[in-house]
Amino acid sequence: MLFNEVSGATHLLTLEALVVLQQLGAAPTSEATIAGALRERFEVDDATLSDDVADLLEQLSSLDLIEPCPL
Amino acid sequence: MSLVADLGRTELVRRLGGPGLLLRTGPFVSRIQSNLSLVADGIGALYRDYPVDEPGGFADFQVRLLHSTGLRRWWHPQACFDFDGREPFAPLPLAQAWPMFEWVMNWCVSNRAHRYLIVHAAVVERNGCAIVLPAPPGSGKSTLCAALVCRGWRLLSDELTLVRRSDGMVVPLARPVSLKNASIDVIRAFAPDAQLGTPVPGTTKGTIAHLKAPSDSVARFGEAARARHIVFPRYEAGAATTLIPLAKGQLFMRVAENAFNYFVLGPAGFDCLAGLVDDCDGHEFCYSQLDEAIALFDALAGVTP
Repeated sequence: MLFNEVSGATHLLTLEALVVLQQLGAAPTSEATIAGALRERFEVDDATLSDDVADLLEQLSSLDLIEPCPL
Repeated sequence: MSLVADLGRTELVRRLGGPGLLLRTGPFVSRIQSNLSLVADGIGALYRDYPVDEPGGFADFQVRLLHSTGLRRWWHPQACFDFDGREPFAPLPLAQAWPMFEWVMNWCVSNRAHRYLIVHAAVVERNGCAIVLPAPPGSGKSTLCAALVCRGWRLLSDELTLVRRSDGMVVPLARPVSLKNASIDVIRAFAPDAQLGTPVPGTTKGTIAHLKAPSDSVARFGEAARARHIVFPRYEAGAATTLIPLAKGQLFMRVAENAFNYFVLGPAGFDCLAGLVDDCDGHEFCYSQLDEAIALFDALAGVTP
């Protein structure tokens, strides 16, 4: 569970999304690095991993939990 | 401390019609002023075990339920609710004054008592184990709650589960259980000795009758309880008794949907609800037989048959 203190919204997240948020909370990170972190923690499908990460980042962005930034 | 029953009818009517009756329900004191005999009758019957404070003392809520004035005094008379000088409800037909009183008492708590996380749920306790029953209208929540308290469970609330934010304990607010339509006869048949108020037909919820809270539940208004289960009940005619576990995340979101003030409380509400969900197992519960339902709840509370 995640409570966004800015919006007041509550989110029910998957473990994968939580790992991504924790990583991005520490520092801005590239999609490739995020994919690598997910590969270490979970069983992933390498054929779709890149698209899956992009989808997940898009969803988190649409919830105003993250935003794109230059690295 | 005096009880409503100690006042006698004359003094009860005098206080209601004058300085106000300071009625203690759970952690709250309400100053009730009313010139409606239906309100005096209802309080005299269904609240006779409740403590009253001396007139002039502090009250959390100022409630006035008065007879309509002017032409409405004689033509289709109405009951009017006044809260701190404002009228948050439209008047209702005079015959519905008693259900209106109960709705008003709920409204006061759900709109003002933000020192608690308030969940739209019944809550009952046995053997030190409180079980919270959130559910939408028509799910059989109040019927199940009434049946449980008629079989020895302590009533903490039929409608408003108060979770104390400081320690996560559930604070009792034992008031009459609101039974609707077919549930009234179901409970009459299930517990012939149950003390029910006069049924009131024609409300927006159909016919309503209130079951008096057990005296023991009222007397134990100071004993908070720890919730151990959150059960979402659903009555379905002919269904087998089934209990299906809910994951913690689902449980959190389902309880949040049923909380009156989760969004009002912000991060404090999140922390309080997280604590409640940590303390509890969550279940979907389907039933058609009250005896089977009660046996299952007894088992959840560790009561041996």
